[in-house]
Amino acid sequence: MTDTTCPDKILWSVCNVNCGSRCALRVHVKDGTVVKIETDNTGEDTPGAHEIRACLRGRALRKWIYSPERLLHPLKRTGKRGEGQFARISWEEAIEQIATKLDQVIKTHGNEAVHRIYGTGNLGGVVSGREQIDRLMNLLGGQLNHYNSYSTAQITHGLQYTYGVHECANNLSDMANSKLAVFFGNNTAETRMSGGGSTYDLARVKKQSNVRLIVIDPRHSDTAVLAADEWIPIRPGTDAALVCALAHVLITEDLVDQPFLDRYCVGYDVATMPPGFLAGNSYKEYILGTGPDGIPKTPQWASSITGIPAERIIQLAREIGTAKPAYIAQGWGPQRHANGEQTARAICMLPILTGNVGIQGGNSGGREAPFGFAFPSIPTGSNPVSTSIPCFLWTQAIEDPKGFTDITHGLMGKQHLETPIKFIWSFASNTLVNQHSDIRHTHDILSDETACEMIVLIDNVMTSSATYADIVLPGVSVFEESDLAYQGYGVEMAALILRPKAIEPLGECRTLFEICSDIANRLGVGREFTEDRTRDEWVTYMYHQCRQVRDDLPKNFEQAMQTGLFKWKRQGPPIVGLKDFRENPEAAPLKTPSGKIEIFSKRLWDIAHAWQLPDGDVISALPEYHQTWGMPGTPESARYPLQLIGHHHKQRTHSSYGNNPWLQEAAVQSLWINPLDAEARGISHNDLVCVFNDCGQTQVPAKVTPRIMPGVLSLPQGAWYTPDKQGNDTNGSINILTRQRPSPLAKGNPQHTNLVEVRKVSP
Amino acid sequence: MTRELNKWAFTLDAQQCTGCKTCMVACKDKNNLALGLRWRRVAEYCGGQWMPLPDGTFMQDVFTYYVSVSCNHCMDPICTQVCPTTAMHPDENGIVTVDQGKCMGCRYCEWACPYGAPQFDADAGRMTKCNFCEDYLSEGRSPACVSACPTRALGFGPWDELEKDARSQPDIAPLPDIKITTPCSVLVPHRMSRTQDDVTGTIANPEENKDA
Amino acid sequence: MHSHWSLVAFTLLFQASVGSIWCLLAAHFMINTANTGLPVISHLTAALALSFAGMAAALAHLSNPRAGLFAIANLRHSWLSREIFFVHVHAGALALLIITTPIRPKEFDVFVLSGASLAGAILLYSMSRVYQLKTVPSWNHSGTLLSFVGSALVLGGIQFALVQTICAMTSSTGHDAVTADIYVQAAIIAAVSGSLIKMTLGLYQRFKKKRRPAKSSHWPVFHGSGVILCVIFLLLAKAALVELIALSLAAIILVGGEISHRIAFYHSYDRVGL
Repeated sequence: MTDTTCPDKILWSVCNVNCGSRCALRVHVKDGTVVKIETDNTGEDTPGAHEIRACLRGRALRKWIYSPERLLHPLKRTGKRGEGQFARISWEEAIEQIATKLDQVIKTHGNEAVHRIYGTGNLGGVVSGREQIDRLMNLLGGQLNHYNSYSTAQITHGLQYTYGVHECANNLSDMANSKLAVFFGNNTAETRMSGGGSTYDLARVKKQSNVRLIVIDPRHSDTAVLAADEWIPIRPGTDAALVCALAHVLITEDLVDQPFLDRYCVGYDVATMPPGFLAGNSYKEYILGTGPDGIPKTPQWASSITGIPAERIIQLAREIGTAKPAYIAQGWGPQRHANGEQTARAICMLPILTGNVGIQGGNSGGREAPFGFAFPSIPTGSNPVSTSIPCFLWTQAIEDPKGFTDITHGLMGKQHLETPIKFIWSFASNTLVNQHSDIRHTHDILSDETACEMIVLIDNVMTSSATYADIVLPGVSVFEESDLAYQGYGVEMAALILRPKAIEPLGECRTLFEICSDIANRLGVGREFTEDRTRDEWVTYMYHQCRQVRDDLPKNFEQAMQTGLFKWKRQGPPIVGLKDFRENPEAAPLKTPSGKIEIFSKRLWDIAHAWQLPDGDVISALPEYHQTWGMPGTPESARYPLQLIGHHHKQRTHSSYGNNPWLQEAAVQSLWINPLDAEARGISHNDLVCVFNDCGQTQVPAKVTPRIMPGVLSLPQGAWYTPDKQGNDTNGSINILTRQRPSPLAKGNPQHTNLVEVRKVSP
Repeated sequence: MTRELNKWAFTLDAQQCTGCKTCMVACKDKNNLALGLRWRRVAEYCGGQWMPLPDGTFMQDVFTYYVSVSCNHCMDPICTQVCPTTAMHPDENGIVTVDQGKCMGCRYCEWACPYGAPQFDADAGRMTKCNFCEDYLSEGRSPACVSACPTRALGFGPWDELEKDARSQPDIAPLPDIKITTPCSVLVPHRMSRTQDDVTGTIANPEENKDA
Repeated sequence: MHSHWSLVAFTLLFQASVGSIWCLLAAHFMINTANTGLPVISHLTAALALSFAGMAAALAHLSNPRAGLFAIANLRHSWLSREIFFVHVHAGALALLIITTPIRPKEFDVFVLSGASLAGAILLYSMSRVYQLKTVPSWNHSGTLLSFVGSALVLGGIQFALVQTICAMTSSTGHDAVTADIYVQAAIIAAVSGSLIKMTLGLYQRFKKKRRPAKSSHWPVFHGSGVILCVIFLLLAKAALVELIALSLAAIILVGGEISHRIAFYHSYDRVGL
């Protein structure tokens, strides 16, 4: 056993994966080895000056950086893609092969054939981050852009049409000023687990104010355990139906804020419809059933869709309608569905109908707003290529570039994609296989080595995506390079963390800056890339850029590095989203075409008429409820009667750290199944079960628990795809079961919209 | 100073506990614990029934809460009573400690302790357990689990002071009857918590607390 | 729970040893003249051999046997400490008896044997108290002691009967029919009563209403068949070979039943709390 009691040095570092938080770590180093990891211990631990305490994942980092699967040398693929057979090569050989291929692809197919796919395994690093690849590519003539994220595509698009912006929420701590809080999903305690960020904030605000909180979620989440006074289970993808019924009660019982709707909104009733639209198209008419569909959206109508008894819906509506201000928020789970844009917009209807937008103690219906400073990222230059694809559709851009258009796939900058993706950069990303939908289909696309000709992947460990790469480069871990890290999601405090290099890179690991510099040199843009700065000089340079934002930072970089962690308390009352607009809508109009809240969006009306959508996909001007594929009541539900969602798991941040034995021990991967569904299938707790649909199948132990509603399964997303000989997964990796069909408007990943069946695996 | 004045106790505000297990992992990192050793564990206690209604909706009364437990360094520790060798003993601060030289690895304390605190280190062939981070205490620092807790649910303090402040003793499920060992720990129950004699719930994560 | 084979062996071997000494003491009380046909040394040696095997099993249970030197350091509180102490007293008494046989007046046998039997009884009591933990409701009742006494009678009785039979058959003064041997009959009756105790306990625990369902239940099939064979032996057998076969079969079945019963006992461990 290593003696961990007297380290040679204790250095600041950070956990910078994509939970969105960014927690401070104190790394104990002895004889060049990390022997212990502690977290922030500075300050008095009072709110606003509290310790940024890392969650279990940050504390288990030792087992990640010293993992047996750690990549230590550059590798070249020798078997087929996905087989995981590699040969060790030298850095010179690796750089030469990459540069040669990159040059050839650009010359043959143009810069649009090169794409850095979405990936967030290193997020919040400034000099260490993925921007280095963008900077390199921009110097080489650019690359195919992407927009959206795998986290928030639907809500970002949806709220843009309602509010003109998607970040328009109040601080979470504003709940203390509310009479009622309602969360749709919004599982802070398992998605933003930092003890300095949202979970800390939620625990504190609930303890302080004891505001009544109702959590609406198919799963009794740990957020519900921490803070909810009541849990209302709901069938996945039906939040909009619930909102419609709540609206029905609010309207028929005269609980709406009519003056607010008249002054601030477009399309609530006939009086505020945009010119040129006939009666029957307003929200009120849609709800009351006097619109084109003729269905009154009564609580009885919604109850069978949502699984919530009609009486409970009526009570909830009355509760929302009579508690003002009310903090109504949604997380990002409800929107990660095939009808996610509509759901995100629909949830916002509750604060809109009740006039809770833009006031202290209220909220717009979006996810809680973080607090922080706009610290800069490294300059990436500009991309000469303006073509941009939704990040979720990169496989489509390999498979069928001809059919990839603006009105079918949300292509931006061009009407048609002119070239398939031929060269993929994948940095700290497991999106290549694991986090992308329909792993088996992705496998088929990537297996054709004449389609995408080159995949270069840089990571710390041999991930399931890495087994598909042509060249695998060993990147340094967070402890092996210096950098800055900016605050993560937090409400009461902003932060800057300076981390020195704690240990020497393991094996032949190299920083992304070194890798990109070498390729830049080889392709003749070396000086432009480095701007004659070493990596350390870049860190110092970026620190001084930060000083432009916060001039209270020390002038001396070394001195700042010694301090390591800087915190700034948020001053004044909690931030109110859309406050200026609420105070003076004429002087501070929204960025929507009308300047108002667009309950009826003419832009969406136009898109709905211009775009080509597959059967069943709906884009509507109003935030309506539409049943989609992958939901109960569709033909496929006869064979696959169970809905499957994939909640965020304590064991991992998405797929990051998925091989860490300490985390696997602390939080096991298992399929959540209700006792009613389990009993019907002869499944007992901890039985090995097989979850399957037409996409594929996976095996995983069952967690039989009443914390998931009947008819719904949840398989924590991010477990590493571990195929058997047939390509079926053996490790509970949800994306063997998800589909690549995008959501209608955002073309985002609907990874919670799935139908499956489950059976016990005979022992 | 009497022994009781020196005695330390953990506190848990179960209402604040999200079951995140940061305490458990921080403990493993601080003490370099091999897989299978969990000096701190977090039990998920869960129960409730679902009632399907004819219209396709459901009624339910589901409850869940977490209880983070290490060693309670009991006033009347069963582990020290049953230990044949006296390897298991309270030290001068009342911290129940294993004398590694005396422990013969019979694992009898493991059978007896109702909190699962003494755990067998197969490599060393000895029992191991939470030592309240005595080295940290002597430096005036908090135990690793306490200073790790993201929601500040865990705390610690001198037992005689806490005992007076204790709003409630830990008589909630799935913890055992406190009369068995008189645990030195203070627990503020979760609002959904059930009493110790509850039969409606179960420990929902046995595989996360103990190897099969 | 970890593997319990060593504890299964340890407890059964010592229970056999104690039970056989009880039978030997009982046999002593039945002697009217000089101990005709009672091979005391053989019985003592067999019991001591089982005790040594039991100690070896106990040592195998320890991961750090060197610290076993401290094993009786907590006689004040720990029943395990006391159990270990009386294990040594019992084995020591047997050794003493064997060593002093040539020099000791025969009249003293009964006193020394009584002492060894008493040490065995205390050992059994300590052993049962080891398992009667207040945190383990599935063990914490008088059934544990009864069960151990039953095992001692079954195993001790059958061991005594076997040793007695084998000695009789191999001795120069050999008997025609062992059933005529009153000692063997007594030992068989001990084994049968032990079996009946265990069967009753098994049935009681199976049908007793419990808050927590038992983790494993044990049907007394082995003991039942063993008893039937013993009865056949007592009533029917008249030829030495048939007797030996019936007795050996009964022994195999009863020992098998004891092993299976003891494994089930360890599996029934169910502690309160976490």
